[in-house]
Amino acid sequence: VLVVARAAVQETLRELEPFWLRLQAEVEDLARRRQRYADLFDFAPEACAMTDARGVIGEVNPAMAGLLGRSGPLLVRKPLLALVAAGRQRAFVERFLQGARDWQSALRTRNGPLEVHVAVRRTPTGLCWTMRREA
Amino acid sequence: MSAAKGSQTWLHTTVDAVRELMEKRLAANPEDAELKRDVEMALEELDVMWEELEGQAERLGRESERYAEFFDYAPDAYLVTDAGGNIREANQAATELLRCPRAELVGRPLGGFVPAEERVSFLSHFVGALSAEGAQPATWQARIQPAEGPTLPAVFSVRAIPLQKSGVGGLCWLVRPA
Repeated sequence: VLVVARAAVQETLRELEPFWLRLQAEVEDLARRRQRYADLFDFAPEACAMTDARGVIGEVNPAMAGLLGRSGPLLVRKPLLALVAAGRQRAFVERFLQGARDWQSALRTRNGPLEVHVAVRRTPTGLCWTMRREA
Repeated sequence: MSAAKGSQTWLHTTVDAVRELMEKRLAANPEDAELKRDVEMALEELDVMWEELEGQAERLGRESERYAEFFDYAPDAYLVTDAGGNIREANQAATELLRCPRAELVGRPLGGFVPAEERVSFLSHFVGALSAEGAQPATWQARIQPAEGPTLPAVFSVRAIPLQKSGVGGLCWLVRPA
């Protein structure tokens, strides 16, 4: 009876194997897909930030961190507004609330205010921002 | 977006099916204590593994949706080409700027959207970006030729996406009307 019992379990486990292999392959596919899109964000040729609908930073790319002269991960969960130069915050909020998609502003950077062109678009889950140094 | 959701649903269905199969085995031999213990242990292990995989799949799915959303809704036109210069991906803004639906953009050479007299200059920037992998983006002014209508002045920025991270190298292009 023991032998039969063990054989039954072994058999079930053998039947499971292809399922698990496929599960793992699915997760690996997801990981590749995630990395693919993460690369597009990280290697985007301009400064980008993703925030929630209230403007709280979810992630900034290295180009954005470089523009600000700050560490990207330390900016997570900070309001995007905190990156705007002090005297320009009110105008920034006004433009945003008016529904503008592009405007001029200035960022607070390690080397003082930096004039930038801001663009923002709504996404299904938040806001997508790009900032470009004014020529 | 739906691919991640789909695979999660698939994972769930499969694990449920496996559980059911093992429980049936157990019900068919109710007297067998050894079998019962073995099957219960296997089910417990299965639960742990499943939770781990489910957690991973959920996180990966959420993150790829977030990054994909960024790409698709970015204010500027983004395109990804392979090392041969053929368009592999294009966001919403790119389809609008080039006045061409996504299905027709993918597979076409990006150089086809540059007027003939500017192609040599385009190619030299393209080759330069390919050889300067991961470096600072190259930016230059050029004209684009959308699928319909007149040519437009634009600013191109391009940066190589290193091969090693996702296993898919290529070039990330940003095209902005000047």
